[in-house]
Amino acid sequence: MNAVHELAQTQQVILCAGTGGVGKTTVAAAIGVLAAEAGRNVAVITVDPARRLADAIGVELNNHPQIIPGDWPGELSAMMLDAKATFDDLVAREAGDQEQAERILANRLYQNLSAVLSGTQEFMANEKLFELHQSGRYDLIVVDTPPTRNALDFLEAPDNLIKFLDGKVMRLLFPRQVRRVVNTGLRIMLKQISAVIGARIVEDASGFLKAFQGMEDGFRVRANEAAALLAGNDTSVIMVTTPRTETSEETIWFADQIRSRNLRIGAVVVNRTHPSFSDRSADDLADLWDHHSDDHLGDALGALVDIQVRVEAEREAIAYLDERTGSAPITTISLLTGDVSDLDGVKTIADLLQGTR
Amino acid sequence: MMTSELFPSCGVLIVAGKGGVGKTTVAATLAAAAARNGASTLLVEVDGKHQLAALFECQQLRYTPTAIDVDGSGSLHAIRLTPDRALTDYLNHRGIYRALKRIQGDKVLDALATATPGVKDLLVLGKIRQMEDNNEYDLIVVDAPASGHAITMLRSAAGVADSVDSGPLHEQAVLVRDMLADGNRCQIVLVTLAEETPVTEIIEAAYRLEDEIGITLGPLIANALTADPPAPLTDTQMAELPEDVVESLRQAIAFQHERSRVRDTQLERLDTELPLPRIHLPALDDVPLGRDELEQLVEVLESELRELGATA
Repeated sequence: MNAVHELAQTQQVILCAGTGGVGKTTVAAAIGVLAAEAGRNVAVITVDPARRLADAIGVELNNHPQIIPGDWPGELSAMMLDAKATFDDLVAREAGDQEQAERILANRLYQNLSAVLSGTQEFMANEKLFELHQSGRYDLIVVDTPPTRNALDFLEAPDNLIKFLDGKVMRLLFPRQVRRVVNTGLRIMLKQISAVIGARIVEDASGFLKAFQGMEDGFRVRANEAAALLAGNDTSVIMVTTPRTETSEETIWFADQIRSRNLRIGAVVVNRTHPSFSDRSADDLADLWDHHSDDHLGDALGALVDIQVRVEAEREAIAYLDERTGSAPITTISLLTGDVSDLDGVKTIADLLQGTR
Repeated sequence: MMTSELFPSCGVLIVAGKGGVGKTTVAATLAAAAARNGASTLLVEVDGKHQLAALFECQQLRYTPTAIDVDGSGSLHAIRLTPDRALTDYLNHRGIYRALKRIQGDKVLDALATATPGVKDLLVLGKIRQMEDNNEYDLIVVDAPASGHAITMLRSAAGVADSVDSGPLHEQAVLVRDMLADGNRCQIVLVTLAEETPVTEIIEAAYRLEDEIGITLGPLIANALTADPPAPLTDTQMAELPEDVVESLRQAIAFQHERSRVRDTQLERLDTELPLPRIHLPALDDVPLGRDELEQLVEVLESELRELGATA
């Protein structure tokens, strides 16, 4: 049994991380299939899925896990993160009373916040993971995290929001002691700020921050618990990458970042490796090609050499990755000729992942 | 000049696409091609990935333009515009940054700008518009963030124009919105791979960009296309090769055929579902991309542009 297969059977939380365009969503779904085939009850959270994949899985995905029918002993559910809805739920739960919740939900700034504020989506993915884990309904939760740089936000978002709500800015805008004397310095400052970015923004933003007052503690407790879950023994990160030099560099950098945050990298999946069609070396084939470069065999031998050159370059890239990402075992998935756009495709990837194909 | 024939009097080209499709490489190729053909060109990086510096084998880009050595009659500069610097720059420009900083107002302002959707994105676009307005460059090529984020970014102008009713930020938003919607000043170049998922996403993104931002779609770039497969061979044709190589060839040819079939299916989808003028760029061998590879791509781009010009 390889590392990925084993993690799918033993872990409670798996984070799939990597740069954009490496097939993270597909690998996350395939890990879900592996766990369900092993009889586990698994939920896959996708953050930014290709809609076709969601469609093809055969279920309209929303912010709550939907069961995906399949011939496995376990149960596979999938959901597509709706950051706004998750934030609404969180506000409703953490607010001191219903009035506070309504004040926040009605704030203009809050209303389009989730769509645009950087980090909101990552924070809510983290929150959703924690919520599903707390529910106790799933043996395993697989998270398809946002692409690399944003995935760091995913790990840091709760802290950042707390710092924001609890930090210097809040103390400047809303001093703890309510003073009778009007704070003229603050007034002058806000006036200046209003002049450059517009009075309505200042009004909306202060209203928004004010509405959140008192909720910091709840957020902090939750963020700490979520951080503990991610750092625990039951959570593993699976890095997803492709065998190209550029992606390897990014993956190595990212792996260091993840380790420095005390998270465990359980496995590295190298997706879309070229199949090798010959045991001969590219050089050997190139010699043969030289003899035939002008005849009818030239084109075909040239194509074979090209593939073999690429295969060898990929082997080098993987060896380099292996050396630099340390102890995490590497699993490769061979390039398919077609695109993965349905459940059968995901099952094929699952088979490739566990090496039965 | 060829580039201007293709993008008639168009000052700003925004290059966008899903992550992993080679957006940055394409942006660099367009900029280098324009410079080579006589245009004074500025290449703008808006996220902090530092890929452009590696491509041009030059020092890391900064907030002020760096000159990049290129062949040809034009010139190429590159710049990195981060949202934070754009905010500081905006305040400096209005002469209040130092005053605000003294009373820690810069932190409050930064928090408010961060909390308010679109403000920082708008300031980045505002800076680009200002450079366009200065007419210092014939062409400004922007390497935009990945498609979802690019739409959010481009929408920031209309968003801020609506949500801030007056003041300098509102004016800024209106100026940027007008530039984005004017096909003579600004176009978007979408980049995709000839694979199912990226093609689906780019078609969706294209219609949203037209509907929501009113931006003009420039030529579409199908990037990293696989080579045509070799013709199948008969047993007699292969008779002179060692047996194992014959088998390898059979498999390799079948594999290449299947890959090309996928490529062609997706290109046909683009023909019917997103009928834009299209440029094809080849997949390159896996070496860290640098100047040599860029030059290779520039040459293909030039011949593709000539062909487009001829059929137009």
